Amino acid sequence: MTSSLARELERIVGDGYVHDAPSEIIAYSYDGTFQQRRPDLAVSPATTEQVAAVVKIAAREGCPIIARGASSGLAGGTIPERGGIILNLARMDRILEIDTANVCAVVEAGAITLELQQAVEKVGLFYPPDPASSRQSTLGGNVACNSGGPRCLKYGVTRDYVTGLTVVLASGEVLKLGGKLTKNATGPQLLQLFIGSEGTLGIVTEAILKLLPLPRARVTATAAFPRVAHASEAVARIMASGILPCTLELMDGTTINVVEDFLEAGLPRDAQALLLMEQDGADEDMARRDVEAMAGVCRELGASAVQVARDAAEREALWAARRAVSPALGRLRPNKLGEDIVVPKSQVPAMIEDIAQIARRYELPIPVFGHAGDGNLHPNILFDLRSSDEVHRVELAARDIFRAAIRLGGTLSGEHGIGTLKREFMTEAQGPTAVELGRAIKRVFDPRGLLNPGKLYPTDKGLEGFLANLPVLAGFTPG
Amino acid sequence: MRAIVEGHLEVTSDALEHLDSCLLCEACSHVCPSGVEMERLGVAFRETARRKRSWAERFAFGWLFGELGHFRAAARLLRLYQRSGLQWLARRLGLLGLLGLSDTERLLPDIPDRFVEPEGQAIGSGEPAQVFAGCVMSTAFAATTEHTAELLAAFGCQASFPAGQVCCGALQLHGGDLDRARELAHANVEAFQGEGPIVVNAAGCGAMLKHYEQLLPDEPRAQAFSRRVKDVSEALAERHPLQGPREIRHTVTLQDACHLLHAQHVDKAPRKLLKAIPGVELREMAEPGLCCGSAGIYNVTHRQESAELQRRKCANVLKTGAQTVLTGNPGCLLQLRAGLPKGVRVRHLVDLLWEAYCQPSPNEAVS
Repeated sequence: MTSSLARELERIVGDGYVHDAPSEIIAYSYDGTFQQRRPDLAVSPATTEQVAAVVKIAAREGCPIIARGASSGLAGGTIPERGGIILNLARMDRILEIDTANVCAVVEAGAITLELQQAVEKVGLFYPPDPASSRQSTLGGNVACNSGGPRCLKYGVTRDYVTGLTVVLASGEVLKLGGKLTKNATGPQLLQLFIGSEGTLGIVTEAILKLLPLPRARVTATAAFPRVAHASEAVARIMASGILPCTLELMDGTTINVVEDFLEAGLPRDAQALLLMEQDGADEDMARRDVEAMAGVCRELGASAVQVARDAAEREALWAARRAVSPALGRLRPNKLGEDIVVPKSQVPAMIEDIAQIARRYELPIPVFGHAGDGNLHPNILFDLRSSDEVHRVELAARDIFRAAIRLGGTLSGEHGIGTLKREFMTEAQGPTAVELGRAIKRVFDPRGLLNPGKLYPTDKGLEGFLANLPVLAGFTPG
Repeated sequence: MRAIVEGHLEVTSDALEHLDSCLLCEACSHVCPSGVEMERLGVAFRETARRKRSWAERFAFGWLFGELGHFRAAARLLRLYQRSGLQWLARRLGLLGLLGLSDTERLLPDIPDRFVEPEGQAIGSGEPAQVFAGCVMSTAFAATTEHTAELLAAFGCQASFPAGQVCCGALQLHGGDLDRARELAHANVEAFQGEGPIVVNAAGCGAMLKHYEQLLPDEPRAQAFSRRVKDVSEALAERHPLQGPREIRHTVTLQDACHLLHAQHVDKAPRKLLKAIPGVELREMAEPGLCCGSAGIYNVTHRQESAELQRRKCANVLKTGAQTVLTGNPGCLLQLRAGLPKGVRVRHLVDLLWEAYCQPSPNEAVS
């Protein structure tokens, strides 16, 4: 990589928006996992046209190009594993339009998820997908990973809200798909292919997102359980009872305590599991009735305490606690492998039991939390990357967790994506035919393999030692 | 930082520049679920990666802030500069612009006639409370520091200024001069013996004094010392005044000093105190956790970045429409005064409280 290339890129994106000094590109070398590899250059374009121009130069040079937003991802999707150019979209952070007549928003890829939510709520509208990192995460990143969040149980994931995209293709050509449309049956929807493709098929620079009316009422409650099994049984029974809550979140005893260490939110430290239940709706009584019904199920199953949040401040304290869970686990061990499995709702109790057994088998702490209501769980294997013995046990534990999920009719990822972390399991999860079709689609869009190369599909290194084979600088272990 | 420590990044001047650009405002530590303590790490790093100091830094850390007597002497010189007509002349002739000092000079406080010189003097009766006078607060803001003692007396304390106290050492620590910071910390631990709270009216000093137990792991008295340290707002909020406050009809906004909000997690106490004064209307500003750009000596070492933060902070203050902005740290006071138009008053929280509890109301004064 020459500095003349850096200067050429600088002419496109402006002074100060191309970085190649070691002290600067290190900031673009990691994500929300423990992986790290430095790019050759980091470029921050301001417009779709600039993105297209940068991609054309990368194509000319045969240089990998990896798009990123906030890089808060949890699967290694933005790690520049083979070097190349990091295309930092954080500068394209504008909410271009909130269209109340068509009930949608037009955003640039780098716009922050929470900022869109706050902006649309001011005009009585609602953007439901709410990843826990919504304060930092970008909407472009959400589209690339098909992000979810606690509210997705009732409202669906990012995919369900994207009606239009502007995509820069590997050739540098700009493609506009969809529009401000509620329905679209004009052939198979190419747009859907880009959602969850993690920047491997094209680079999303703008999105049109569907909005909903903002629910007027919201009621939140917690139930504490003396055993995790009772809480997971409560989840299965609530979901079978005909209620569709807005949120049904599970935290186990370890996660309750680690988040209390940080926030002192008043969670019950002696409980082995906590359910966070929320219902929203057009009126308070309806929401309250559903929450009461959920609370009833919890009491029947031996919940030691059920509490309804009295006001917005109490509710916000509970949510702050829930959002802090994943990063707060960093207090316990230097590294964590955050899993994102999904199983059918009725299998949540079985999956949680399997995880407990795997933790015992490999003598590893594996706290569990997640969106229990939709079957999406986050068992987090805590470890120290500097211990090769531990790394090996983590590999086996992760493998067993994936396999248990698949055996129960589930899959690898509910909302984080595949990136580098789960790629070696793709054939087991999807079958060889689906993986080959996925690769064939990739070749159509990106014949030279320059867009975020190496992600999503298995490498030739295979499953054995998959963790040790990830891009990690020895001794350097962020995340 | 970690990349350098673990040998993946060379210690180059541009790498150090990025790390020196950190405000050490603790906003990140305050919200870090993983519990990373940025200020401690930053300080340890600066100590290790310390470059050769300029004569100005050596002078500032060693001589000027190293001993209160020196600091007072310098403050008197500054007063001479301001009162003798030299300041008028220098500003008039554009001399400061030529020297590249006009922004820095604007930050200088107006130096009063009288300083607080801690010699064990005390006022009030009741529970003992020892006041930490500090360097800037005992000179440039001597009146505020006197008010602090009078307020404590009005809240039922015997407030004293223990002799032998020195500068808290925060500037030395942030600059990476750990040895000098430890010397000062030892002297303060020695000076503040006894019972009751150690009351501080500068957020930066308060955070520093609360960290003495980490700074002096081998000093058995440091732990007890640090636990006694209270910001003046904390100390007052947990006590009852001997007499109720008088009414002050005034709109105010509160600028949470980083070293109060983020480093000491103090945000409720000042609000509780303001709420207790009839007539005071508190209007919260946007981005309350944002640093004003003062950040120790940051506004001198990183003028451009600091000015950008100052603009944002002042715009947020103006949007509230409040008549006065209150804060609890001298750096913030100077930074806000330099950035806000004349119509908005910038005061220490203590001065407003003093007016409510210690100053006779205009009516009473007449009668």
